[in-house]
Amino acid sequence: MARSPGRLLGLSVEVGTTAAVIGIIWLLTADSHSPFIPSLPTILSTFRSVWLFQRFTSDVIPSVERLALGFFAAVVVGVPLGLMIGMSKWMRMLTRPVATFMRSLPPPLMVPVAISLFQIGLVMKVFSIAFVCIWPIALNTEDGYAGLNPTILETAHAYGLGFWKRLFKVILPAVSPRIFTGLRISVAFAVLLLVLAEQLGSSNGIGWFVLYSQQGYDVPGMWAGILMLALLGIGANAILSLAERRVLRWHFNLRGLDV
Amino acid sequence: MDMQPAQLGPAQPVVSALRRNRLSALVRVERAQSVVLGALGIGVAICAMELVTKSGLVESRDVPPAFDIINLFFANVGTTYFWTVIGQTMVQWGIGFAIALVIAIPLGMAIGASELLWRALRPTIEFLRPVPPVAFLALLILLYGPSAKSAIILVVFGSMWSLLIQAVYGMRDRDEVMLDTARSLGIGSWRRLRSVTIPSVLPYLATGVRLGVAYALIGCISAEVLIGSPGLGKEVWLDFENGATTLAYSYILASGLVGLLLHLVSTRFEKRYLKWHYSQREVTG
Repeated sequence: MARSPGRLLGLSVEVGTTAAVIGIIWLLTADSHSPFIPSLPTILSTFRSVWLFQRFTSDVIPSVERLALGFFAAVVVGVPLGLMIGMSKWMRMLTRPVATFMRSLPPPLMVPVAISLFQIGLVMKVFSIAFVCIWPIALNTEDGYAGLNPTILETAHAYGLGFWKRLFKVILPAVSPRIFTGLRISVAFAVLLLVLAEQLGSSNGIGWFVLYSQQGYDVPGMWAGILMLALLGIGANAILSLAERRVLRWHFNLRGLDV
Repeated sequence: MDMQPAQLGPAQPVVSALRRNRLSALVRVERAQSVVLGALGIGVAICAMELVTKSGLVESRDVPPAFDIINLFFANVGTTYFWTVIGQTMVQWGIGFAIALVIAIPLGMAIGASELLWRALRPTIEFLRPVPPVAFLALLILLYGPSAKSAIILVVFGSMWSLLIQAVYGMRDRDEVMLDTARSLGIGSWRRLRSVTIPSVLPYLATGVRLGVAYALIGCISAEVLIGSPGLGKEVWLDFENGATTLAYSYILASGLVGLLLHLVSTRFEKRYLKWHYSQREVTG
């Protein structure tokens, strides 16, 4: 039983197995005869020639821009919406069924809706990302606000803090763990919507490039694109959890959890 | 508020029964309020949408009036075509989700059972988890085209991770003392599995199922919209293409109701097992 392996041993297990996994994929694809699955070195060299830096500015940057704009719009609308609803029990009861329905709408359907509303363009992509991401953010913010210990709010009142001070110094920090829960759900949706929107209506972007390569039977190019999309998803997640650790450091410390 | 009648005087149960009645009356009033207000909210939303289009703020070609959508929805409900489309989505969803359950839960439990295995595979799992399954849509077009198979594969990939990870967490959260106690009492491995392992994994799995159900539907509809696998997503896409906007929105309404139904069933399922979990936590401190 390796219940508590030494630090070095643990690390070598992690690195060793990961290297082994990559090695196995390498070997399995090395003499692949499938026209759809090229060997790992082919994918990697295509990846390098496509993304460093031939198509970086023409496709990666627009994708990141769309993702950031849509996500940002969802935060700017979703957090205040959630706070407004969370402040009153009546508002919560009034909006709950509609908001639950909105959240249950399958996100991929927002892309055709956005295309029909705004035609193909930046607005359509930003709208479809934002519309889907608003609900998890708003609902989590609302739940977080409603679940606050009333003493916190009453104390802030008793100290005579003004509205803005109360909002930024008391309410937002107290609700922030729940806001981040919403953001974490949303970031996955944002990447999903970006990929769909770029494949259904775009003439550049990583998602478009994957479909374009596939339609031209450029299989290594398609795989290079898939790899880039994977990195985009991983990157977006990593940035968010970095932000979360910074913002919520006090929270984790408070709970005595190691970050 | 749990009672322990065996330790209380004879009058006690009567009093707490009274209190419980009053409490449940309060709960009932609250529940009635939320039903009435919720219905009002739905009404306001529908009327707002109707007004937006009727007042010409948005062209009714772009967003059809809400009542037209609802009327068409109810007209469609009587047709077999409507149920065929929903059936196609649900079959792909069901097959894919069942495959994901069968693969991910035993795999996750096996990984979570061993500290060594978890440490070894964790970097790979953590790396693959944020990869959007829709990245592979183009590959699925090449491999299987606009078939149900493509949708099923996307359902499996969409829902697998949350099930796997939750199974791992559940296994790692088992009480070591309880396991050791069971072991030293000579309780066989089958009974240990049944009375220690499964109860502590179940709440985690319930959460995994709730998340997985939603991600499975997303995977399914993504394949339908983009690749043209049969089902609601394809229907909505084609209706928009043909300019039948009202029809498209009526199928979006249907998709939302399907999503809502799955959400309600899975949250109820989760609540049932989480409730058990937390009450257990309170007792053990």
